[in-house]
Amino acid sequence: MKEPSPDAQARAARLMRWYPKEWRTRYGDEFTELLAAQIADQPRSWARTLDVALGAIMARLAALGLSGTTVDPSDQPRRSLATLGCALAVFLTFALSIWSHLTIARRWAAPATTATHTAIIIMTIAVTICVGAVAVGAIPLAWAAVRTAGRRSDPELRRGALLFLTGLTVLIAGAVAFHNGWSGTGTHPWSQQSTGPGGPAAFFWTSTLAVSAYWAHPTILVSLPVTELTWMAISPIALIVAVVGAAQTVRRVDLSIRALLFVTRTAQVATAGLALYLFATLTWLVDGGPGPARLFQAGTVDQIGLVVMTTTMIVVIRCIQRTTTPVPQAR
Amino acid sequence: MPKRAAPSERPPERTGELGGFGRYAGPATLILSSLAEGPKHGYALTKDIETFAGVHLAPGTLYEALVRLEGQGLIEALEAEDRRRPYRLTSTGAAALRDHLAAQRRVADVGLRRLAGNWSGT
Repeated sequence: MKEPSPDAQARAARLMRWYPKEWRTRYGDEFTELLAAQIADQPRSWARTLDVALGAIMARLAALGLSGTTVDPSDQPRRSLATLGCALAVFLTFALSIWSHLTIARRWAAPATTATHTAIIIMTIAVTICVGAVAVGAIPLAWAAVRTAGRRSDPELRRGALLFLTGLTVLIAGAVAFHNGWSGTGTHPWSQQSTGPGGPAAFFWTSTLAVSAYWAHPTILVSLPVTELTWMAISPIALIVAVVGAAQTVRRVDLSIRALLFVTRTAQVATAGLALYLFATLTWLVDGGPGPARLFQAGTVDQIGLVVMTTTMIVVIRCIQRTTTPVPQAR
Repeated sequence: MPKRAAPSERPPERTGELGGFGRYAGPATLILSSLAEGPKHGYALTKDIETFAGVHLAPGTLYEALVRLEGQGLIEALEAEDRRRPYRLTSTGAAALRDHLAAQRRVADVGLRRLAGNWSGT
């Protein structure tokens, strides 16, 4: 074995940075040592660099609880659960954006096609299932977070909970304040045609205002009121803060097997809602048509939404599989 | 219609703990076989595997398999020696390796017997 040169050590250390932090903490020294020794034996190898990149991707997927084995295998279900929550949040952001747009449009005019009409009804049912399942699933998680905080002092748990509550408060307060000042969701002669309550539709419309095609049209964007633009910039940040905080909290809570199974069951119910929602979105995109005053016209942002929602649903299913997989115990 | 396998050629009831390793079953078998001789660190493992199997395990693949094997309790890490950490086989790992190699031997025996029966002239 050749003694690795300082250059080989430096290159090995650079390659190591592709791995997640907790992986580096546990395996960093020995892995860098091996890499440096192999670089000393064979200075240039694209195959080795590619293999390290692939290994880093696998380690990152494992850290998210999506694949392989986490550094601490007992941590895997919580990591899968945290990723599941993030994926559900992304799905619901796009889903609620589309649903609120269509529901509000429905208050102004009846859709011209049965496909759009049916899609809105199915979307309303699916959104109710998803949001309901998420709310029910959050109860044992919130209780576990409170119990864990009472049992031990964990700064990361406190930070996660604080981030979550801050993000959620900004999102709710901002959305309520913003939609109160907007006439689009107010009283209208055709409001009885609505398939969903105007209040929730308006709230979710303002909460997901950043999911918009306006970002691709700067000339329209600059013509919007400053308050709307400000909220379009703040609301996604608030959402990200809330989701990151929730994920950090879930990763730190002491969760019993019973609570884990209950949360997984609610996630399975939510997944049925996701599948139903995707079906409705596809029906609307394929056969909906623009309708009166192009109120129901699907745009590129909706097609992108379909792709994002399909991807996140796959992630959700994968996470559910992982949370229900028995965790290997070191013997 | 394919012939039914003879009783001696039927798959074993249990495929062993390496069954869940997917594409890492190959590297895992090589690592366990190398550690069956005694504890080794990463570089020594790659060199030993190259010697007895003619296979070069790249670092990313080696450590992905090591993490899985450690997580399953089939190997365990020893105290680090100057930034190099040796690993050793556990008794569970030894049993899993024995099962896995026995299953592979059964497949090899069947393949060789069929070759001898049908392709002995080539």
